[in-house]
Amino acid sequence: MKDRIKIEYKNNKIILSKEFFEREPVLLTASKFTDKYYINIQPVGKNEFEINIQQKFETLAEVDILKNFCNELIDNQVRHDLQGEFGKLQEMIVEPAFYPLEAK
Amino acid sequence: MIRLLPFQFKEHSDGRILLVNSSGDYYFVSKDTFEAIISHKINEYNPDYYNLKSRMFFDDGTGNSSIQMISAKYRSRKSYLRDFTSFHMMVITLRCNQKCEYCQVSCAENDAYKYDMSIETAYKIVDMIFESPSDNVKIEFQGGEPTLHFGLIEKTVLYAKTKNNQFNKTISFVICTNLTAITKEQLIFCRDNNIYISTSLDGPNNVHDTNIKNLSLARNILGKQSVDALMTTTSTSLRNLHRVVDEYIELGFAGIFIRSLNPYGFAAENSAKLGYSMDEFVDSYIDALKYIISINKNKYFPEYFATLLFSRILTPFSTGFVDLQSPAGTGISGVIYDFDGSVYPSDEARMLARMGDKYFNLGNVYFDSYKSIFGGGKLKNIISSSCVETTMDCAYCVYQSYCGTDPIRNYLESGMVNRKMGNTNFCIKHKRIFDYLFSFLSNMSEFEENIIWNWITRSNTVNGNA
Repeated sequence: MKDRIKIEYKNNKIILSKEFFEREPVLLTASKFTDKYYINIQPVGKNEFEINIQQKFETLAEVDILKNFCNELIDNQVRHDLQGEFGKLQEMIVEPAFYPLEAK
Repeated sequence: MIRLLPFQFKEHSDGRILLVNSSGDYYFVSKDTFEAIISHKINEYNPDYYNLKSRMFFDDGTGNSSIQMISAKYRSRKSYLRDFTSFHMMVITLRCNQKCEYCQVSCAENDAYKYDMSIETAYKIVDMIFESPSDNVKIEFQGGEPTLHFGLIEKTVLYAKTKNNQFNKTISFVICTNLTAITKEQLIFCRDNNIYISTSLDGPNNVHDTNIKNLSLARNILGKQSVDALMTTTSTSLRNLHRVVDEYIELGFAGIFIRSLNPYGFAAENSAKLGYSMDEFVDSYIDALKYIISINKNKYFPEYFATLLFSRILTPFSTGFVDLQSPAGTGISGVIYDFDGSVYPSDEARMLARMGDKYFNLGNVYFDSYKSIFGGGKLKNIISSSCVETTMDCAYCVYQSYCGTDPIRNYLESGMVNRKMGNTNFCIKHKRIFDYLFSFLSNMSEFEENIIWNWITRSNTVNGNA
């Protein structure tokens, strides 16, 4: 079975399968870490992304940054999938909530 | 087959998954149950099935009654917006007789009369206030030290009351004062005109001592319920919050609101001396909250910020709080008028203008109409950029239903009204406090639950006795 996520600790690299992870959750996850890390995202062939993570400041050392990134990405992919499933429901909730009251 | 209804989720510190939906209902589930929910495999044999269904995390997909119920609750939560701008602050002088290091107002010297609001300006502001559609209006006099310009307060209050004869709104008045210059005659005027006093007890010792003396006088004349205090946490008080709480109790206050420093005015200039990290503030806040809850086993004494957040978590009711709501309350819940008639959506925006940046100036009561100020493009742009549902990091946050945003603060810290919120002090503070409150809620005893509901319902019962 193809790997969904591969972590290369030596190179600070994560390789993701495009079959399981979409662009938006990957970008959303990357943006959460850009204050402390340089994130580089590149396509690799037709089916994979490669994400390279470098810490910005020498004093910073987050243990397990690669694993934390992967966990965050999985959650964000689930959120993305759920949003797709919710579809227009959120609009059906919010729009009537702001209908005007009847005139006094 | 279930139909999932909109919710957000997050792994809680105890390994369970916290779910919160659009109407603000929450529920904790195990990872297995969460997996079953998102894969549509949960069924009535799961012990959480009916709890989740009744809280509208999913339905059976037929009809829209669940959607309508969630929408009704959502509408209730946002109902404070219907009142539009009901809180109007008037900065009637920049003169002050003190120079508190943590002051976010950056007041002027005591003799700087050119910063006093004129009667004409005050009347024009009152005229504009009465154009607000709100049936309930609160006018708050601020400074500097507003009691140094008390004559204007007297004239403005009487003018507003006379004008209200044709509008019939519910109108209230507050003076924010350090109490050091207030006189007995001024307090009698406040009593006779139902004006509330809001003061601060955090000043240097000499200010603090005069404060206490005049606090007593104010209470004797106005009554205890008409005088309240707001605290601002400095690094000194941060290390001594238990003592601060004890002092508030000793002085007979009904509760306390523990606030962090804002990065404006003197407080910004003195931040190295006064300041603390947001993590330090939250650690101390949580510690103080635990202490306050323990006190409530024998005495009713709420912490007001926690009360507000518990109310949002446990009830669907509207809790407008200008500093933490979505869309932001700036301008549409509260507004501030400077001494020269300039209008700003918040005190922080006015302080930015004092620091040289008039980006948030909405207009002036002399030159601009109510419609152009409150219905104009500038305010609309600010508000449309201040909804958590469309703010990066907030859009997927599990605490979205309970939280808010501060576009002025965003601008001050990043140059942008709408920014990535994730690692900001604003987000750190609220996220960590919500994390703690949810831990508390999932582990609280029945007694602690009663305390929280006493706070929410403002019922002063201890041990079941009123």
